[in-house]
Amino acid sequence: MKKDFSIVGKSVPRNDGKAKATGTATYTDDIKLPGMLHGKILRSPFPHARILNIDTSRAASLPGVKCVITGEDTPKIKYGNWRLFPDTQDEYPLAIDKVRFIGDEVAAVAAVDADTAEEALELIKVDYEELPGIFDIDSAIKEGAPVLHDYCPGNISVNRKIHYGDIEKAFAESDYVREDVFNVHAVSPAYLEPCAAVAQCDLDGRITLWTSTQVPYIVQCLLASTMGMRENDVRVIKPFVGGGFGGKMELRTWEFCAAFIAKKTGRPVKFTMTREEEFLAGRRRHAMKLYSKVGFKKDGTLTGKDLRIYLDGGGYNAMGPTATFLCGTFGAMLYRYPNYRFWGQHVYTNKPPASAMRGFGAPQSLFATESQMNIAAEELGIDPIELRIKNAQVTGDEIPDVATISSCGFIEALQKAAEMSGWKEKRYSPKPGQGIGIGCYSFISGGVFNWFNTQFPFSAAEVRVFDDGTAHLLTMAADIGQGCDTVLKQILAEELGLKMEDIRITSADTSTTPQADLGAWGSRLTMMNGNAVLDAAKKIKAQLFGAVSARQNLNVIHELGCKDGMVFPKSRPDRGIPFGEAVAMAQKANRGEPLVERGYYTPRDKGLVTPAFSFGAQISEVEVDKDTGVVRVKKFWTAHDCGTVINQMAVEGQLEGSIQMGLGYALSEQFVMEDGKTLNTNFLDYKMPNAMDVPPSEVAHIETYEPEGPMGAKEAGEGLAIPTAPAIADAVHHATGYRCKDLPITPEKILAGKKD
Amino acid sequence: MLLPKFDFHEPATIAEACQMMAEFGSEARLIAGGTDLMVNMKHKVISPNHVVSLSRIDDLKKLDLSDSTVKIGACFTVAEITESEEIGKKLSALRTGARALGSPLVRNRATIGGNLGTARPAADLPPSLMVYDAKVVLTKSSGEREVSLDSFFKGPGVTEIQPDEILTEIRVDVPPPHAGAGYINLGIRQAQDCNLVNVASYIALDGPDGTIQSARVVMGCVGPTHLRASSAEKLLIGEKPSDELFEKAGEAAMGDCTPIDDFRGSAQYKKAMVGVLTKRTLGIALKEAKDRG
Repeated sequence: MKKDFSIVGKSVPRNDGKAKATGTATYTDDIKLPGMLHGKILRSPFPHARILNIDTSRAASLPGVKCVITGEDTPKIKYGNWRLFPDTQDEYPLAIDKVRFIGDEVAAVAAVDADTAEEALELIKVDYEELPGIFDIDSAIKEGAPVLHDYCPGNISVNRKIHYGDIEKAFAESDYVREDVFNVHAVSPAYLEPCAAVAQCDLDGRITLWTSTQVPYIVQCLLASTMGMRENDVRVIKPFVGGGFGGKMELRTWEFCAAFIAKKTGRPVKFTMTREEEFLAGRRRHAMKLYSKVGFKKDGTLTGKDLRIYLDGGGYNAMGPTATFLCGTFGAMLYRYPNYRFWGQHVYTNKPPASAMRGFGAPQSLFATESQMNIAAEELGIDPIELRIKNAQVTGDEIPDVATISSCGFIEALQKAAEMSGWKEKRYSPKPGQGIGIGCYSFISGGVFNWFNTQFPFSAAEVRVFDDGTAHLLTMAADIGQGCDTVLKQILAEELGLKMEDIRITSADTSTTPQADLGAWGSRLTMMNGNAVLDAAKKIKAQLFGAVSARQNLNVIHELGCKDGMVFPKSRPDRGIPFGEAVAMAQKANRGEPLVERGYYTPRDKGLVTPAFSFGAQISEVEVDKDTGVVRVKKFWTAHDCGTVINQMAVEGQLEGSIQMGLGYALSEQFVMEDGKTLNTNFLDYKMPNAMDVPPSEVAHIETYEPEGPMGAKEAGEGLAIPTAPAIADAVHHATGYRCKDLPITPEKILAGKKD
Repeated sequence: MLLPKFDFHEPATIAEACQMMAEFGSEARLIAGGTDLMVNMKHKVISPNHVVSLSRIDDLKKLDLSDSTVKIGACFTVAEITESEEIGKKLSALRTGARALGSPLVRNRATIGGNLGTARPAADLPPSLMVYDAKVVLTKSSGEREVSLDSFFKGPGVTEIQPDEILTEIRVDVPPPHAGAGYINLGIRQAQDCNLVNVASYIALDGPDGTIQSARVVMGCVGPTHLRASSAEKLLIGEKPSDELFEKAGEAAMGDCTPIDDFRGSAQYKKAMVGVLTKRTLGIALKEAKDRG
């Protein structure tokens, strides 16, 4: 199925590269509107408390303050991304009656400048009645534990079960059964651009919101419902965004407050979060407690898995329901489990809400899977790569209740990673203090389950072509730094036979780009928007082919193509017509009507999880200082299958970023918390690895062809964030004898656990 | 996060700066690179009414080298220390400390005087300066005094500097032949991190293969100020250097430190690392002592 591509597969420079490198890219905080007010948010100092009274009078009378609002001023409508299940929508833009974590939003101020707004916050008097707080899963689910939400007496807000086969029988018939408990911690998406929003209200009462978001459409809909407005009276525009990683995929308080205050005062309003606010109260990856039991036959054949997961959700659901669903789904991916049982529960605690973050439940779930695979390999006396190959999913495998895998390069990836890294020699004749380890992943290329309950297709694209040989692509897809504007342009350029510079793109403006798009999350854009772009391009081509065919008086049996700026019969390339002229002909045939087409994609008949799966294997080599316990990762080798690589450089960028994030997850990043208070709210103490810590890495693209994907492509954005932690953990075990089941792997744990 | 309001002063001479400090006293703060002061002011940890900048005073930026002493102006930047061949030759552990400090951007702004004057127990420059037995010059309108670094630090953020005084210079005697020093800092990241533990060691031998004539070991992050490991030093003096001796010195240093549990690490781990780093820095010091013979 592989094709010769002109633009797809090349390292095409990014659409936004020049603007970002020269500092001309306009982010939300760069936007300044005439008369604009500056907003600040008052946050709860208590992890759990009842609000008895809020007195804003002194703040409101401070010169320069234009508006102070509390939950009482708002329509008191709850929101949450799981619109299909209103019970899960548990959050108000500003606290009503209660606060549930330190940093929970209580009031908002807008003033003529940020200084004044900040000063006004100190003048708001809130009377709280402190309530006992719960800060970990075990205390939250205990009988008689304090209750966070009245509707949810046991603090368990989401239950998800999966069961197929006969798990008890499978274990009874196994030769080897292994049971472990894993604890994984919360980490911050730590996007470099803190959240920000600017809102403006026109004289008809319509809102325009510029916001640093991954999901313009979701923000549009939820902002409208929370304000009590019609969806199409809200316009959301995504300017340049400095990363999201899942942390910007919901409607957030400041978006609401900016819009609400803009409407109330008639003046534009800007809110920009500080880094301290992001670390104190921002969204994060779920901490989880995972009980995993796996069975094997003597020869290494997997018999089944029983997985029980508690997710530490924090004070509100946020994207927790999706994480709860997905961590169970991920538990059954990568390998063939004939019998599988999963029970996941999402637990409320008095901490900042966890939400989506790169991998969406997979880094946690697959840390357990991969660690246990390595433990089992050791105990069964089988090489970890051999054990994986024996149980690896392959093309055509069906995951019950999920989907059939339509392309899979997992075994090839395992073999290639082993070969690149010199696995055999390094694993079996290691140097003192050094170790080598493996971790693997499989990930979804976009989700199918429509919890947002959209009436629109999952993705859409509009393509306009002109007689000067240019095209204009409009899409609601949100480029947040991952590069989808570039990738979508490449797909369109390839299909229409144009050059990158022939295409203008307008994206992520809910009032001008075609409805709709569920956003940049779940690694969905290349697959879903790529397909929408292709659909539109194919419709354009049909029109062009009709016009050219008529003009050239071609026999109907001729197939036509677009390449190098020409539209031509494939068997008679000499009778081609320049693209722009072909557009003019088609337009003339339609009496001047512009040549515009729309394309759509919604995964259908693909189960409820995803239309396609990525796979990959990563090997890491570490050196552990036996006296200090400090781990230095020396090198990574990654072999991955993302189907057709649309843009080499972009995929390699995703890998580099994933490794940096994975390193932090494995070794250094964590929220240090005491009774619900975060102690490390800055980059000095939140130990995100930097350039000095990131080792060299080698990559091999195992190209498969995904029949459901645009030009054979599938995801490369999130899966790669999964294997790094288990690979490092395995390498540390290889070097020291210490097997980490409790992330992060700190020097202290290594010194306490190492076996010389 | 916004700066509190203050008056900004830019004296052109040391005398003028001293006059201002005498006038404003504890209402004023000196600013050199500002890498510490600005952060604390933004966090409203300190809100001085006056900020007196030293950046226009060229006399504070000098490096004065002779065969026997090194005199470094308080506003000599950390980046300049990393680039100075002469400092590298004469005071190698100081340069190691300078290279470990922050990032290139921070090193371009941070000054040696600031790194001492802010008195952070995790700072990178004090340990090596202390093992070299450095002295600081504190200047005020009526004159100057020389203070040994050993008695300069009084607690976190607190030093011997009086409100009307300015730290103007750092003076270090060039170590004799057969002497060497080493510095190691340990953090989670390889750079741009707050140290978990840092140690510098210095030994002087009485001959190329001689016994240890003098020894100094200084530990950071394990007490309210940088601490001398006096029992380790005692144990080293008069002995022939060896791995076993350095191991014992490390163990002795562990007894000399008083770390606390905090969110950066446990007291137990920090104490253990004092042992490891003492041994390792002594190893570096010995190698240099032999090389400089």
